[in-house]
Amino acid sequence: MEIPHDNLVLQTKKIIKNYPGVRALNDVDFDLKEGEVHCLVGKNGAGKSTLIEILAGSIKPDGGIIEVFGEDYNQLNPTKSIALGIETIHQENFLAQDMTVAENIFLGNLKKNKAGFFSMRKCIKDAKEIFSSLDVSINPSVLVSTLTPVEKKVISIAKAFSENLKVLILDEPTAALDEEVENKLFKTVKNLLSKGISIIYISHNLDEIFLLGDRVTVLRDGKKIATHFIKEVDEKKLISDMIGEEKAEMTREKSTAIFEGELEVKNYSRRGVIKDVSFKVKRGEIFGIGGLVGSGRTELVSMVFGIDKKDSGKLILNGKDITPKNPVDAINKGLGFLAEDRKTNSLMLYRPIYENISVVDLIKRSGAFLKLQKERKSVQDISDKLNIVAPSINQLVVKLSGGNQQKVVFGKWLIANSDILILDEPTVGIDIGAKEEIYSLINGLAKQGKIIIMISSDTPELASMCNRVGVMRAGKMIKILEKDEVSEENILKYSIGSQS
Amino acid sequence: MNNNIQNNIAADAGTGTSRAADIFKKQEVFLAIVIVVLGVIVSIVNPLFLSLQNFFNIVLAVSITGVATIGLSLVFISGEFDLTLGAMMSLQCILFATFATKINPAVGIILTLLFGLVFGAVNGFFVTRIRAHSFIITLALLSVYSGLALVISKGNWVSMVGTFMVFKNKIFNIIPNPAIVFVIALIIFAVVYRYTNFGRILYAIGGNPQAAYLSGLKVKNYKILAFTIAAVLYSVASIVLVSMLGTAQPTSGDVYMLEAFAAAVVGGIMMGGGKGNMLGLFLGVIVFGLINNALIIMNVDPFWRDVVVGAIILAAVGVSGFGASRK
Repeated sequence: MEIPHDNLVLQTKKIIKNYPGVRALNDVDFDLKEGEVHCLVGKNGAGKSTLIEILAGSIKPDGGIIEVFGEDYNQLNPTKSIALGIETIHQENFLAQDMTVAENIFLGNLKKNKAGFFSMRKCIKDAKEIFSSLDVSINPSVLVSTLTPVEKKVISIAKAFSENLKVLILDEPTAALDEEVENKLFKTVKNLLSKGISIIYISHNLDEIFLLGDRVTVLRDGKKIATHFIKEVDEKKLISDMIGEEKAEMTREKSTAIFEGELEVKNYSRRGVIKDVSFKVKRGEIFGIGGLVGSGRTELVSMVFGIDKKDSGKLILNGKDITPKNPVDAINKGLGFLAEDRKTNSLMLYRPIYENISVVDLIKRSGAFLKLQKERKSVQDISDKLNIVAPSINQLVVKLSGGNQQKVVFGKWLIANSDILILDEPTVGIDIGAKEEIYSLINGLAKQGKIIIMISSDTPELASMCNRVGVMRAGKMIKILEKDEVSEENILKYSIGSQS
Repeated sequence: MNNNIQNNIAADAGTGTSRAADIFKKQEVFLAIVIVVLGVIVSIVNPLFLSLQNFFNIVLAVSITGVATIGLSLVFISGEFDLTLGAMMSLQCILFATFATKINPAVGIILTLLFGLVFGAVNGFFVTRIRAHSFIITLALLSVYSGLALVISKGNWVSMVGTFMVFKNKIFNIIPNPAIVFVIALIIFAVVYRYTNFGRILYAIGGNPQAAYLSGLKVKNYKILAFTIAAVLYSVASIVLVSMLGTAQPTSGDVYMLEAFAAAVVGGIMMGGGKGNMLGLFLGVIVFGLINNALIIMNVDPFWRDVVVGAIILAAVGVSGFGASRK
């Protein structure tokens, strides 16, 4: 695809970024034309964030050249990027919630009156000017905390807008595409384009890309796969670019043993977070939950385990209501929850392995004293079974590798002998060898007749491990893929693809 | 990052990180070295230092601080903070002296322990119910207890000389009774931390409250319990103190707060929770007693004491890094 060089705003040539053990970006070429929306898509970990961080100057590349308005740079820094007119709107809003919209717009450059004092009137007046030039209809004198998420995003854009702005990077600005997004956010974006500003738009939502984009670049495993004109590409092609040709449909043997009985997750809802989610899991089955980060997966299972409040929802095992009131109740009713982010949610890093594994057992004990020998023996058995590599079970957990730490967390729920296991991202941040061990452990548990619910952002993992997969999107379970439907394409299609 | 990975790889290979270096990072070992070195220097200057009598003088001098520090360790290990220690001891001193003289010492002991129970539960209640750091909450309660001590005593000393002097006595004419209280408390809590479900739970909730909660532990209840037992130990320390001195002032206990904090930190009881044991605490307390004693025996101007104590805290925390926060 030949692009006339004269209207290029920026361009990267053979950008490389290495992290320990992984090449996050590998010879990535990317370019942006004046007044276009160039979309970036790819699975989690494809390198999208790394690329925009390099353009924003917060990450230094290990190789390659960044060309901005014809000038070559080996690296940028945040001050330099802003001076060149590159601004990033991050996924999270960095707005002062308890200040007015106008104050937020001019934060860091508050307007003063003739006497040199802060002038709210001048702030509001100037904000109105910016809003009218961008065609934004938000009252600048209201508090930011009263705005909707989309309005906050528009305010962030207005804040970044200035005479100097040339390139705006929007990192996943919306959770879901709806009328408000089209009416407010897209309108603002189009106004920016008409002022000659170019936009890099990262999204997980293909609908948005087809509505707004001019070109789209697909990244996969740190490499640029292709750049298409939006008019010349369809959803199917984009998804296959994202997954790759060599479909690594791992031939892992799925658990087939089906026992009597099933768990029913029924009508779970919380206003604004989860909308009426129901599904059933048979004993001996692995039920996957797919969807994007932020689609409500973790919130759903936190409600099921009794951690987060819910507006409605019942957990029914073999026709009996076992809805947990809190984690203690959940554990007593046979549930186990391997929470995501083991360091924050699961491990006492500065305590030894045996204390970490036996901690769930503490609530079931009677009497004041520990039965140390018995405890050590059962922990040792589990440690051997899980093949935890450490000098002894006295080793502090902080000294273990990610894979061994995760095995320790599994050990907790094995000691508790949980009947229903909820696994939230069970293999994040661990090496391939340990992953395989954990896969066969999960399969083994399913074959013993446990009920297993597994959340993962790793679509190949879900596709190869799970008997059925429910795909979540914006708080709803929009599709439950049955046996033969479970595939990477389908999981991705329902997670990000067109909803029509 | 790289370092971390290397450590992990080393651990995976089953070698652990360098053992020799680890030993010196153990606060117990470090403190033992400090004690021995100090002991050798002082006994060269003054051979009287090595007498049995002087040993018991040292233990006696740290008994009150020691008992209070054991109380504080419960709160620290559970991951909280208790600034009320000194003020609460002042209040308990006044309460005990008042009850002991107005009713009798036995009733005084019982009532003071009961009040300790109530105050501790109050501390724990507010810390677990109000969404603010326990530093702030116990700072507020510190003021309340301080004020109550003044209100009850009307700002006066309460004398109880001759009423209850058990802790002025020595067993076999050499072992001071307060030292026995300290040692018994040490042994009890060494067992509690090492061998009971409760001790294990304290380490767990201090080690990672979120993990403890998701593992089914009632984190808030155990924190209240930790504050409660701590306050009962402050009561014990107060009773012993008043009995030794024969009088109670509305500020008698104030000095113990900083001493207990310093001893706990030097003894390796980690602020932030989840780490610490009674051997470290004992050595930490003894280091302070030793310094005081050495300064007296070596005829150093007592005004230098606080300067030396401060230097020792910095050295102890600096060398081994065990007061470091964990992130």
